[in-house]
Amino acid sequence: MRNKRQRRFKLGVIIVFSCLWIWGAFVGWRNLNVNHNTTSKADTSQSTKLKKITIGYQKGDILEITKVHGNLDADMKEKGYRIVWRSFQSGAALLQALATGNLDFGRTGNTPPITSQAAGTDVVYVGAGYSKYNGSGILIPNSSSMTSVKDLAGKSIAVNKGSSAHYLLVRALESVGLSIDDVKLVYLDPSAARIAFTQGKVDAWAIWDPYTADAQINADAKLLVSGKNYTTDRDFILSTRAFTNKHADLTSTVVDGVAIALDWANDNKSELSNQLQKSLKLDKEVTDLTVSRRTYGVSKLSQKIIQEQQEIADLWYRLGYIDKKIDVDKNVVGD
Amino acid sequence: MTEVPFIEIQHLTKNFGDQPVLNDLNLTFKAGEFVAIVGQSGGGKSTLLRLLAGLDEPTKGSITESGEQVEGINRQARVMFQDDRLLPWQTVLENIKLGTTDKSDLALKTLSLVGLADFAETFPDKLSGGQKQRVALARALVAQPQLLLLDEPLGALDALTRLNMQELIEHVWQKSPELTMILVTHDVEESVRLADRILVVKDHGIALDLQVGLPRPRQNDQPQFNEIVDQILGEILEHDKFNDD
Amino acid sequence: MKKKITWQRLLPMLIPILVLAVWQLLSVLKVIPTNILPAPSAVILDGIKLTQNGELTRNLTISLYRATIGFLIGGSIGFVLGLLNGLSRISNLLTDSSIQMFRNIPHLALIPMVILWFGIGESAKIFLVTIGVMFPIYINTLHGIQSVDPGLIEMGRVYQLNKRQLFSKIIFPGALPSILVGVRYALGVMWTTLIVAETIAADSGIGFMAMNAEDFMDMETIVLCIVIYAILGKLSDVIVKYLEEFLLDWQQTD
Repeated sequence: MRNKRQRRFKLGVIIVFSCLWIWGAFVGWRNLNVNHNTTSKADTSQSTKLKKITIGYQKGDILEITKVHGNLDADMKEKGYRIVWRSFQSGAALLQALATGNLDFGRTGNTPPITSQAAGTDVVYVGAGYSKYNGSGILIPNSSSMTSVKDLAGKSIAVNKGSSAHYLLVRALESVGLSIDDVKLVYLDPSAARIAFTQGKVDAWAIWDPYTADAQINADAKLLVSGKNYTTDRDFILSTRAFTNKHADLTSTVVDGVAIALDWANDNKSELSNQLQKSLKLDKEVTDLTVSRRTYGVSKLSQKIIQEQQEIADLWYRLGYIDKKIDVDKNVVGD
Repeated sequence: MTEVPFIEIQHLTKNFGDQPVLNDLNLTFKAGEFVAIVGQSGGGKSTLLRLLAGLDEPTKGSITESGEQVEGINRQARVMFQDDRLLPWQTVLENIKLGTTDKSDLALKTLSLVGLADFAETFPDKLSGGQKQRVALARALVAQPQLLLLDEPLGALDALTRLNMQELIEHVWQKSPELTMILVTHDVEESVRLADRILVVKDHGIALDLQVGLPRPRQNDQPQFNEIVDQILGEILEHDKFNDD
Repeated sequence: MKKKITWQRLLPMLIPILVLAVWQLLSVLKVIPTNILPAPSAVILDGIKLTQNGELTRNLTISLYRATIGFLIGGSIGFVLGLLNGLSRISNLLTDSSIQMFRNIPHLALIPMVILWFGIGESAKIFLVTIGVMFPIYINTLHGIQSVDPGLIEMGRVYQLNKRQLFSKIIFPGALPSILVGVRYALGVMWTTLIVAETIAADSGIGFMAMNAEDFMDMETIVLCIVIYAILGKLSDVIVKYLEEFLLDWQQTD
C-alpha cells in the first residue's frame, strides 16, 4: 500500500537536501568569481583593457614574496598588464602548465627545467635566484651516530625523485666516492618523506627549506651536511620561448620586480618571516630559521650559473634520468 | 441465421527458420465463442495465439477479423499471459488502466468484478499468484476487447486457486455475450470445463475440432464430461502410446 | 517495540562514537603523539577556526560547485548515451565498445592531457569530474534498460502503448533501480575525482585544502579534510537513499 505520509516526508527530505546542495554550489560559484575578480576589480574599474599575464608560484617562494610585496603588480599595470597569480603544489605541475602555455612565468628549483628541456619543451630561463645551500642538505636524527657522508653507505635515504635535493645527494655521495647504488634511495614526496623520517622508517632525508628547518626544530633532526660545496640550489624564474620572443621587455620587468621585492625581503626579515608563517602555516621558529640562513636576490643568468645548470644536466644524463644530452645555454633568454 | 465468422483463418502457415510450427491452418471462430486449444507442449498452440494477437507475423496465409486482415498488433484483442506481466512499479489500479484512456469508474468496477476492489492502491508484489492473475484479467477486460486470448493463464497456480479462476473466467465470459475467448491450455479438464469448442493441435495442424454441448456449470464427476476428456486425451496421446513407459 | 526500533537506529553510531572516545582519550593521555594524529577535539577546533575565518566554507562551497556542475554534465552525457545504446542496437554497436575502452583509463593518467586541452582553470577540474561521473551512469543506465523484462515490453505492445508510453511506463521505470545504483556510485566517484582534480593548480577547494595541509604537515586540517570527505560522501548517499525509497517505493518490503 502506498504510504502517502511517508512519501511526502521523503520528498520533503529530498527537496530540502537538494536545495541546500544547490544553494551551496551557487555560493561556491559566486566565491570562485569573487576570487577571480578581487585582484582585478580595482583595475577593471579604471580600464578593462589591461592585458593578462599569468604567473605561477609555489607557497613561500620568491614569487610569492613578490606577490605579497605588490611592486610587480604596480609595475605591470603601468605597462598595461594585469597579473593573475596561480599557486602550484609542485614544480612539475607548474612546469607542465608553463609548457602548455597556461602560464607566462613561473618559478621552480634547479632540476625541473633540466627535465623539461630534455623533454623538448620550449621553457626558458629568464632569471636565477641567489644560492641558498644553507637550508638544504641531508637530515639525520639527532640520535644518529653518523658523522660524515661516508657513513651513509648502505643506509636508506628519502628523497623527492628528480628534485634539487636529489642532485645534492648524488653530488655529496660522489664527493666521497660513493654512488647512488651504495645507498638505498626511497623516493618520497616531502610530506610523505617527513612522516617516514620521523617514524624512523628511513635513516636520512635529503630535503630543502622550510622542511629542513621544520625537521630540525620539530622532529629532532640535524643536518649531516648542508648543500654547501655540493650545490648552489638556486631558484629559477622561467618563461617560454614563445612568450619571451613576443615580450622581451616584460622579461626584464619581471626579473627587476622580483629583485626589488627581494631587496625588501633582505632588509625586513622578521616581517618576511611573519608573512611566510601565515602563508605556510608553520611555526614562527621554523620560518625564522628559514629566512635567517638565506640571502634573497635574483639576477640574469651569468656564464657561471649556466655552467652550474649544465653540470646538473650532464649528471642527469649520465644517471639516465634524462635520455638526451642538452645544452642549457640554448634555453637561456636575456643578454 | 447463418453467422458471419468473427475470425477467419486461411491457409495459415508459420515456420521458425526451417522448422514448421503451423501448416496450412483453416479455421473460423464465431463472435462470442469460447474456444479452447489443447495439445502437447511445442505443438504450436501458443504460436497460434501469438499470431492472433499480432505478436508474430504469419509465414503464409492470413487472419481476417470482422472482415479486416490482422496486420501488426491486433487492436481488438487483449492477451492474458501465463505470467501475470503486471508492472511492479504501478499500483493495481494503475496497472489496470494501462493502455486505456483514463476510465477510473470502469477500472474500479472491473476490479470489483475480479474481487479485488480493496487492493486498488496495492503494489503487485504484495499480491498472491492468484490475485495477480485476477488483476491481469481485469486489465485485459478494462479495454473491452472483442477477443480475449488466454495463454495458459492458470498454468502456474495451485489447484484450488485454479478452480476459482476458472469460475471467474466462465463468469466473465457469460456476462459479455459478444466476447470471444480463446484459451490455450495443457489441462484437458480445464478445456472441457470452460469451452464450447475444443481444438486439438498436433503435427502442425488441427487434429480434432470438437463442440462441447454440456450444460454449465460443468463438473468433472459427470460421465459425459469424462468421456470427452478421454476422447481428447486419446487424440493427443495417440502417437505417443508406444513410448509411454 | 518502539523502543527496540530507536535502539537499533542508534546502533550503527555506536562504533564511530566509541572510536572517537578512545581516540580522544589516547590523545589526552599522550599515548598518540599529536603530530602523528591530532585529538578529535583539536580537529573540531581547527574546523571551527577555519569556519570562522571563512576558509572552510569558501573551499567547501567551491568544491560543491565543481562537483555539481561536473556531475550534471557527466551524468547527463552518461544517461543519454546509456539510453541511446540501450534503445538502439545500431548506436550500441557503434559506440559501446569505444566507450568501454575509454572507461578503463585511470583518471590520473588523463591529467597531463586535461591540462593540455583545458588549461589549469575551472574547466579542467570540471572535465575530470564529468569523465568520472559519466561512466557509472552510462553503464548502469545501459544495463538497466537491457535488463527490462522483454515480457513486459511485449505486454505493453499488446496493450497498445505507443513508443513514448512504452518508454515512460515500462522501460524507464524498469531501468530506474539500476540507474539509481549508478547515481549512487557516481556520487562517490564524483568526490574522489574532484579531490584529484583539485590538486591541479588549484587555489581553492577541499582537495586543495588537503594538499596544502599535507605539504606543511598541518595534521589537524588533514584529518578535518578526511572527515569532511566522509561527511560529504555519507550525505550524498543519504540523498540517493531517500530518492531510491521515494522513486522505488514499490520495491519496499514492509
